Amino acid sequence: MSSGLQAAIAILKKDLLLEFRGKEGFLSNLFFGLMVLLLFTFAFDPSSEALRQGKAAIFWIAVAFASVLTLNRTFQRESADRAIDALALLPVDPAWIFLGKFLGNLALITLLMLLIFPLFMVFFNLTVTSRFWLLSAVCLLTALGLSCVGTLFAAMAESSRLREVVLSIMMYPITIPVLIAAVQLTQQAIKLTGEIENWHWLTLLLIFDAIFLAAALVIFDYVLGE
Amino acid sequence: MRAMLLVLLYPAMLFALYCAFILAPPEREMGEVQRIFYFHISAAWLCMLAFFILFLFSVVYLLTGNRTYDVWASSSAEIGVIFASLVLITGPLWAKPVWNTWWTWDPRLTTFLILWLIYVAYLLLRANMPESDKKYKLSAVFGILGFIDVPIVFMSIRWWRTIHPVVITSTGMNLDPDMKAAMFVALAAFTLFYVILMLLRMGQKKLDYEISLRLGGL
Repeated sequence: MSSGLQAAIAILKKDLLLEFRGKEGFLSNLFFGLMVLLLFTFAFDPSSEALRQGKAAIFWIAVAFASVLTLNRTFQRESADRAIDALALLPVDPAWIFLGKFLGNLALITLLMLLIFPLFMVFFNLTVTSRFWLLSAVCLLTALGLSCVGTLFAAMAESSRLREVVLSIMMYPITIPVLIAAVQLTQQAIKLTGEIENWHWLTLLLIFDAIFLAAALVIFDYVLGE
Repeated sequence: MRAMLLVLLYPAMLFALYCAFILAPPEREMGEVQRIFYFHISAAWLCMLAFFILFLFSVVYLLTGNRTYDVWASSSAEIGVIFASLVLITGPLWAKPVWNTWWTWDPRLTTFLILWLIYVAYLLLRANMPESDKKYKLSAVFGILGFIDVPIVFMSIRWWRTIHPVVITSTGMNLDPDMKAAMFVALAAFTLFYVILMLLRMGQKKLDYEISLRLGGL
C-alpha cells in the first residue's frame, strides 16, 4: 500500500473515531437539521399545494444547513496545537490528505441524510417506493458534491476570521447546481405515479462531482500549508 | 498614462451619454425607459471582462507566485462586483415598467445573481484574512473555482426553468443602426473606464504595500 493511501486511511479513521467518541458535535448538527425540517412544517399549511410541490426542497435545505455545520469541524479539529501544520508536513501528496478528509465528511453527511430522511417521511407522509434506488443515488451523489466542495472550502475558511460564516458564504452559491438537481430528482423519486423524467439532472450531478473532485485534488496543494 | 487616459475618458463618457440620450431614437414599445439599456449592457460586459481577468490572473498567480498578479486579480474582482451590482440595479429599474415586475427567475437573471454572490464571497473571503501569501493563494483558488462554476450554474438553471412555463421571453435584438452605434460607444467608453479604474486601484494597492513595508521596517 502506498504511503499516500495509508495517510488518507489514517486521517479518515482518526476523524471518524473522534466523531463517534465525541458524539455531541454530530448530534447537535443532526438536531439542528431536524429543527429546520420542523420549522418548515410550521411555515406551510401541511395540506397546501405549495407544500406538495416543495417537499423535496425542505429536506434538502435541512440537509444543506446541517452539512455546513459538520463541514465546519473538518479542520477546526486540526487547529488545536496547530495539528494542521503537522498534516501539511506529511511527506505525501496533499491530495491524499484531502481524500482522507473528504471521505470522512462524505460518511458523516450521508449519515445525516439517512437519519433526517425517516423523520422527513413521517412528517410529510411519504412511503418508500420502488424508486428507492433513485433516491439513494441522488443522496449519494449530492453528498459527494457537498462534501467535496465543502472539504476544500473548509480548509480555506480555516485561516480566515469568522470561518463559519465564510464557509457558508462560499459554499452555497457554488453548490447551487447540486441542490437544484437534488431537489428536482428527489421530487421525482417521492412521487408514486408518473414516468421518471429529467434524467439529465443525474448527469448534471455526475458532471459537477467529477469536475469539482478533480479540481479539488489538483488545487488542494495550494490550500494546505503557508 | 493614467492622466492621458483620464483626458480621453471625459469626452468618451460625454459622447456615450449623447449617443444614448440624443442620437439613439426612443424605442417604439418601451419608450424612453429603454435608454437604460446602453448602460446596463455596458456594465454587464464590463463585469464579464473583469471576472475573466480575475480568473486569468488567479491562474497566473498560482503558477508564478508573483504578488503583482494577485493585485491584478483582486482589483479586477472589486471593479467587477461594483459593475455587477450596477447591472442588478439597472435591470429591475428597466424591468418594472417594461415587464411589470422587478425580477423574474429567468435563467440569465438567476445565473447573474449567483455570479454576483460568488464574487461577493470572493471579496468577503479576502476581507476576512490577514495579509499573507496564504490569502493570495486562497483567493486565487476561489477565483478559479468560481469561474468554473458559472457555466454549470447557468446550465442547471436553464434546465430548471424550462420545466416551468416561461412567463417572459427575452426581447428581440433587432436594433436600429443608431441604437447599435450608441451601444458600441457605451461599450467602448465603459471599457476605457475599466482600464482607468484598474490602474487607479492597482496604484493604490501598490502604495498601500509600500507603506506597510516602511511601517514594518521602522
